[in-house]
Amino acid sequence: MNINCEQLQDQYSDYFEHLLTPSEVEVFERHITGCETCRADYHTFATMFQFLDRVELTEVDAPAGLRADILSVIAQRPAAKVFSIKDWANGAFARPRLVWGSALAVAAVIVFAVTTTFHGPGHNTSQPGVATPACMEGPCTTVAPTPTAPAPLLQNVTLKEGTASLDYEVFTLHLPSVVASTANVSAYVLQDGDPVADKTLESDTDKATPAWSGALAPNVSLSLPVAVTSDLPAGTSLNLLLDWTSGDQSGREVAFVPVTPAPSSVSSVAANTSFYDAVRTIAGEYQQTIVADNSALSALAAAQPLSGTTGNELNAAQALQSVLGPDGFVITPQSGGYYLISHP
Amino acid sequence: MSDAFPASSQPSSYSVKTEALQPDPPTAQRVRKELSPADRALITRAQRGDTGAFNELIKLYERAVYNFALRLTADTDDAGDIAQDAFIRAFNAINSFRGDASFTTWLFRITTNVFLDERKKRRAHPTQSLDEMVTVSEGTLVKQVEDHSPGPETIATDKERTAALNRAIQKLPEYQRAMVVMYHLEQKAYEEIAEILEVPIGTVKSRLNRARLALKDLLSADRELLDS
Repeated sequence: MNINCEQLQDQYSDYFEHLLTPSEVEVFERHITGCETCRADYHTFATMFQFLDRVELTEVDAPAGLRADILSVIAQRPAAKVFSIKDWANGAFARPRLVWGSALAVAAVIVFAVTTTFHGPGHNTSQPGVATPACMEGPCTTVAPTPTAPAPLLQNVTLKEGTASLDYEVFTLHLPSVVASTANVSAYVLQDGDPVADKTLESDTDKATPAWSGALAPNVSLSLPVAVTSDLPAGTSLNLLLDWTSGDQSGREVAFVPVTPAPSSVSSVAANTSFYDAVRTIAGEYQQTIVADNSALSALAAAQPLSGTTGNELNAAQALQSVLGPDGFVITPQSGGYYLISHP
Repeated sequence: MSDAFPASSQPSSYSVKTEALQPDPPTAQRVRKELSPADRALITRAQRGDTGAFNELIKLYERAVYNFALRLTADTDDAGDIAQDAFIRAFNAINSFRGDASFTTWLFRITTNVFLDERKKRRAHPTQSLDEMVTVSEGTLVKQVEDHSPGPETIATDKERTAALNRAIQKLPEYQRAMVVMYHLEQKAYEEIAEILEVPIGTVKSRLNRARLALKDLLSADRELLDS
């Protein structure tokens, strides 16, 4: 077998580092023996490689103020501010008036703006389900819709600094690929002690604050910025309930998003704690966004109160496993940086 | 061009030269720094929002991150900015560190991403030509506009070779530059570079070969320096 000059170049590094097989070495050396151009070219390459290997660069100290600057930026991250739920409920939607809220309100919020982004083919390729435009680009498995276990509606949560010292948790929503037509979506902010599986809470503003409601089409991403509250205890989480229906399909999930730093003392989850309180505590304790999907919420009636407890777990995954694992819940990390709780 | 030569007809000078230019494989392995129990405890505390623990982590890793950024940018101001942004990103994402990579690998991944993002922004809003960034004297990285590269008649020294090499490295496309810096200057193993860039090892090797070929072409004007 012979190789040309370009193919020889592809093997320069491997030859230099003795990574070629004996037969590849033979082919390499046969070519370079007869090709003066490659011989000179490889000689330059090898000389450079040898020189690179023995370059000794001086290490320098990091600038004296670097660490202080980093810590200063971290410390200057604006603290979460409080909006009054009632201000929002009274219609101060477009330009809400700031009112410092009660520390008892765990996460009073106001919807600031909703933006949508259309996504082209490929956005849903990771989810099995009905045919999507992505299938036109390659093999696509068509699976009957499974309304009982849809993928999460929530794709991601990011923190954004707002204006006037406000911070926003931006929830990015995208319909699961099993949903082929526009869905009606409702988002609610849950407050301390809400029973997340309670179907009546939609009309009970003492338990849940409507955040947004509207239609969401497939292949559209919706950004739902929520201004978070302040003067909150350490380890507080912002908890959002998402409901969607599309024809005979429906889904429900709850996101637990930490908004204030974890408490300095470790608080464990005791036995017989409710699902909501246990997950909320872990989200705040470990500063980890956690999403309970439809299957998890459907399983709650049989599982509550939970039988597990936490001890000295190192991270949120271990803590969730300790509390929820005994009742059959499964915890999986998601690419959006959050943990998903489901119940197969 | 003839492809096949019988072994007996190989020029003796060629045989000598290729032996010299295919040195013995290195006996010392490129080792990565594993996470110590003390570092792991600091990370766990930082993941709980303990900024004091994060302060300790910065102390431990700021020198490595800053020097990496300096080798990528050849500019002390840019390196400081990149190191700062990298640590802030690391703080914001500390809960996503799960310990399946070493903390250094994770920090270098973030630093590389900050560097690539920053250069992308700079291309969109150029403020200074990268050609103006050069390196002089054994790793003391400064910015200068005039080209003081030695002519062919100049006696080559390691210092001059280093300067020529660093100038060429700074002319590489950012992604290739990051790979060359990681492998040749930071002494990272192929496996760790694959983890940092989140690409397969085979991709690292082939792209690094491309980067070295590009570097060789950039250094062609300085061939006398390398050969001397």
